[in-house]
Amino acid sequence: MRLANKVALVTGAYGGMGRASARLFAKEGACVVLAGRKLERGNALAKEINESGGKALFVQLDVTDPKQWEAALEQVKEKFGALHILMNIVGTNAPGILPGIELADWNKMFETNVTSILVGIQTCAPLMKASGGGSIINIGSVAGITGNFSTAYSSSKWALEGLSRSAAYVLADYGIRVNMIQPGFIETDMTAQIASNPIFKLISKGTFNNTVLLRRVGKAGEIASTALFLASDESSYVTGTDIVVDGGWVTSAPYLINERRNHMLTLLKRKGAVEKFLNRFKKG
Amino acid sequence: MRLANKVALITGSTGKVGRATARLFAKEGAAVVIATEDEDAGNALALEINVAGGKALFVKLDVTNQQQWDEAIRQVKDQFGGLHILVNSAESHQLSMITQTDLKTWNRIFDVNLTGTLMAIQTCAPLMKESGGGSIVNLGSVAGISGSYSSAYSSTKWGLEGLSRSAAYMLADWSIRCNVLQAGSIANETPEDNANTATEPPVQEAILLRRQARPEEIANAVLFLASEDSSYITGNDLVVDGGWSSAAPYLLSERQNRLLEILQEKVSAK
Repeated sequence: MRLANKVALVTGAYGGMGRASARLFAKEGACVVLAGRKLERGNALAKEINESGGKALFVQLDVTDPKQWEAALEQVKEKFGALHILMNIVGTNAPGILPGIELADWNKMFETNVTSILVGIQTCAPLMKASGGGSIINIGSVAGITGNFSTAYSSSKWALEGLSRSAAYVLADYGIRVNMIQPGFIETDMTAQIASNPIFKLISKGTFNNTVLLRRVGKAGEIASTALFLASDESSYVTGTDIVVDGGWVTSAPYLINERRNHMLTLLKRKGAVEKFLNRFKKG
Repeated sequence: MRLANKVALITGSTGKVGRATARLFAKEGAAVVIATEDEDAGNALALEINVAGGKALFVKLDVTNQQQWDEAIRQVKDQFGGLHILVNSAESHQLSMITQTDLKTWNRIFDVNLTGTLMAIQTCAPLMKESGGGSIVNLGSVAGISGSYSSAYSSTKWGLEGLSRSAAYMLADWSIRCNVLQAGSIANETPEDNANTATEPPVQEAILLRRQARPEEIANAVLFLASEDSSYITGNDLVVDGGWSSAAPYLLSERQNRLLEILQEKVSAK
């Protein structure tokens, strides 16, 4: 088991990525602390994990409240006595688009997406150090490596990159690694809401798939398996960096205008180039 | 086992990363094709893996020779019937500073590091397609995301990034993913080997983790990119450098130590 004897705290634990990650961490032997605001959803997930042979504890936590963080950590100490993995998934994607951003919305976005993670790291790092070190995983977004229409969201995710890398610097000597996962479009509870958002109708899934190299949206389990790599000692030499899990969305975006790509592939096929290539090494 | 029923070809498989990767892949259930020019070391590694209960085949391969590539892929098909994973770890890291690099050296490094990788991909992709798709992992370097003193090496590793991303584009519809692993400074397996790399400037103190990577740590990251755990990752990099490139401008060792001292004083004063 890849996380045997580890304790992991996951914020936003009952969302799509959270559920998948918590279940996978538990399956790999970790004691999982599920943190979130919603008592019923959190307890249901904890119950499910405990009944299937894993170890889970739900702690009620509003990540923007430092006092609640401390209370949560006390519970972790009491129940498991240690902490090795902190996965910060929680985040909001409320639209905040120039030039009409309300300052209150902007501040709220930064409070949830950046400040809460600072507080989480500050609260958890000492216990992680005392537990012999570990790994912090922050969930960003491809909006944090590109220019995205949602100004406040994009800005907050770029800022999270700075926070992560700076934390990697300062916590390295505590034996704590810090990295980000930059997910592309993943099927989760949050993106289900986006799909009903009028702005996102422009990139509705049918059109969207053709702008991704792998021609599909990602699955929450694919974020979980990446998080598992970063959480485990398999990534013992990985810190201060990101893993982009986007199916090849951002890298080829300038050349993935749907029609043009299809046109190019059609051209190649018409010329027989693909067949020539495939047959090149079959002879002889 | 994370690579059960998979066939993996590894170039440069008697180098530090290649060797550790071959051993790990075999342990995870893959049939491993050891592709290298070095017949003795290649056969020895294949034997070691087979004796330990794994599956390995040695093929003699100069990555810049298309005929040898054709022959190698024929052997892979004969022996294992398919191919799912290609790891390009063959490289020349000959020192090539811009003030003293002659064109012959420059071209040779490009042949091995870049053209050899193109040949690898062109030769292997059709069989990988036939086998239901798979994953290509190219071994890059921090020199390929920064400006390094070794001009040809740095240029080829930047070039590798373009080649990889373009391959990811073209091969996506064949279900072949392609990524670069940007490795930092890697420790040698034995102290004797260290004598051969005396030209490497001391980097330990400029690395967040204050040490070089063990070859096994790079192999673990190759395994992640090769396995289904990374099924939604293509056209990208994975930097495995212990936080070397990220914090480098602020990691002059004296400065970092002084900063940490100040911090510790402040914390203990609290």
